[in-house]
Amino acid sequence: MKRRVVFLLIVAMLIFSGVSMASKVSITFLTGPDTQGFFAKAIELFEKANPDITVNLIQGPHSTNARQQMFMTASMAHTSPYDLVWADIIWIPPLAANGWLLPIDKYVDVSKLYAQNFKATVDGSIWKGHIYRMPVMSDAGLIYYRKDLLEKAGMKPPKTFKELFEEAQKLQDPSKGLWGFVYEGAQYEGLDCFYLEWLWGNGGYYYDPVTRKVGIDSPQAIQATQYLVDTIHKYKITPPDVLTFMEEEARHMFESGHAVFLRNWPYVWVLSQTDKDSKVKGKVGVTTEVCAPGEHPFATQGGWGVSISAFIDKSKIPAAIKFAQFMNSYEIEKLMVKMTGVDVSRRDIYYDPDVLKWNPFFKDLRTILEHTRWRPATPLWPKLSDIMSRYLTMAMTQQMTPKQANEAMAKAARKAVQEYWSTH
Amino acid sequence: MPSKNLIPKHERGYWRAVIGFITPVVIFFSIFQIYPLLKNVWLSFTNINGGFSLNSYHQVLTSQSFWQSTWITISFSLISVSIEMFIGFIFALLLNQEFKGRKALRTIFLIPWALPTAIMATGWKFLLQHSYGPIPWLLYWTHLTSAPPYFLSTPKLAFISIIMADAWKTVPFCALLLLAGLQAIPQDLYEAMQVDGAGWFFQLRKLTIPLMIPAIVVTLMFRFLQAFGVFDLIWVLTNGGPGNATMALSPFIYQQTFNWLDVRAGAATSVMMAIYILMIVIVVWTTRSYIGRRYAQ
Repeated sequence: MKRRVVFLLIVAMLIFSGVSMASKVSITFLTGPDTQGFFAKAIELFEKANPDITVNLIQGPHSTNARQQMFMTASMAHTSPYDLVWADIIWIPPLAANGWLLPIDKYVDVSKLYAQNFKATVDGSIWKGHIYRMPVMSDAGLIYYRKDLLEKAGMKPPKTFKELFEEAQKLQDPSKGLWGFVYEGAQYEGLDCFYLEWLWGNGGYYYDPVTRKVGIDSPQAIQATQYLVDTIHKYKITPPDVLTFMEEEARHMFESGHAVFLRNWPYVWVLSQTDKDSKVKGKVGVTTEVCAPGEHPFATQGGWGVSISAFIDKSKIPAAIKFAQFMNSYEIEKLMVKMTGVDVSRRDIYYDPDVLKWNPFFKDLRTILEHTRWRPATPLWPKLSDIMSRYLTMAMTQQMTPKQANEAMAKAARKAVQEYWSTH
Repeated sequence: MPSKNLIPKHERGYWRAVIGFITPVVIFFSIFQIYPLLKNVWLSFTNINGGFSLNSYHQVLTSQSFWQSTWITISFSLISVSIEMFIGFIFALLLNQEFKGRKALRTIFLIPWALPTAIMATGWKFLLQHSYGPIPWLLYWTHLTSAPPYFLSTPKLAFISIIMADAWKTVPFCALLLLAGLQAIPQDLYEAMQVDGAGWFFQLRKLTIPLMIPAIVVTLMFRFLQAFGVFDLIWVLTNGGPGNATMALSPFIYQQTFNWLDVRAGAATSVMMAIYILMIVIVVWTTRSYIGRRYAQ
């Protein structure tokens, strides 16, 4: 009997000591690989200002699809191993529609967000009237080019598809390892982001969430796919390797001096100028995407922000909100530009003299980021995006002609749309 | 030697012991195997409002991807199992011979099978990479191909890649199962045949193979059903790509359920897959007695 009392006392002591330790709140944050140490630095500054909160950084894989999958799988089990997640703008409709994100309406002033950040970054954080994400980054697809090579040949940066193909063909020399044009061509979300810019730039569209119409089998869309296939097989300005490239592989190829033109996101600029083994320092120019003559150039709106899991422990919500707002603050976004060179979501940063000193082309980004275009905002996007990248890959590997690929895409997309709306 | 029963049947605590030992297993099994299975079947037959509906089956059976996945799964299983049985049999014959270092060789031989599939598939991914992988470069250097091939971005070559990786991993397993069958054959039967003047190949045909039929059938069944359900190898090596070229049924179910969040379609597909396996098992079961009779001499 006495032994039992002692045992229970020890258990009680352990429980109480555990409870007192829990007065320090600990939250987890899932991001991609923190290659430039920005997240670690931001967390260090946050913890210094908030000593009662610990943020544990969980670095996931580089692939955005894989990290989305990690978060979705945890959410399906109604757990929150990732209290905060670095969320892509295109994740918001599927995650919010399934109730996996915490709406933060009562904690943030949305009108202030619209005043301070680019409109698209806030629009993208909202689903069905509620806001689910603090925007931190914007993003828009760009064409990088070798300024030195173009100037030597007396060429101006290309504005139309034809100009891009001609200039790439003239300037490349594959026998010496210099290819004309590289991009992220692997079968994933990144390929869709790039392809959409050419699709829109040629006057086509994929899916309109308002009318629920699919337009990917139009002649303009088929022509856009044809351009994509031609880069590899007709003009031969792109190595067939590109089918295994994501953003990083394409960036490495350009930075090591093996490509004349590159389609990528703004983050590449700083790295190409500061990386130890970059061979293109001072030789890089940036311009908008190419399009058909008479059309507008389009950039796919991307951009990341901080979202909170709907299954987070209620007691941790204040800490999580504090961190999310901290990431959207002027100081942290300026730090992000300094350390990673990415295009952040606050407009005022683009007028900061330090920022313009580090990245002069941020002046051009001011207008580019006001005129980006969205991928269709729908909970169906994971399936539609998968359909698109799958059939594009089939066209790029010549298993199907562009006409067959787009028609198959349209058929599968229409079926998916019809099935979804008949059961929701 | 311990008695046959721990607690003889007439003892008082017999049934209590039985229940006590079986209950944990039954509970575990029900929660983690029976409940998900039944829930899955239920999901496939309902729609989002809870009512009975065959929508999911209609969606799955009319989708081109489902039949493509079926075809890929069947061809993958047939081809890879045939290769593995054939090569495994040769290795089993070799390992059955007496030679120095045989025991050590048998252990090393098992390493591919012991490696976790995801790790092994990642390794193969590097080996088959076009830019810096050794295999394409080797094929080009030995002039077997005119240029280093693009294994993972060409549909036919991607299919060959998954068969190669699966064979590399599973040949040791087949070889070991067949070796067990081989070693069960008594030596004096061979000697008797040799005395009668039978050559090596004749011995193989008339003695070894007929006596190994049970071992062969067991290995075949095991391997075929395993290959039918292959997931991790394909998911890590090619992710079902390029296009849909290597999207077998299991990766397809995963994609539907977890990537597309179309849980009901995934449930219907997995029920269809169970039906396929049931058909295969029925076919093998009804023909095994026929095969046995044909070889019994």
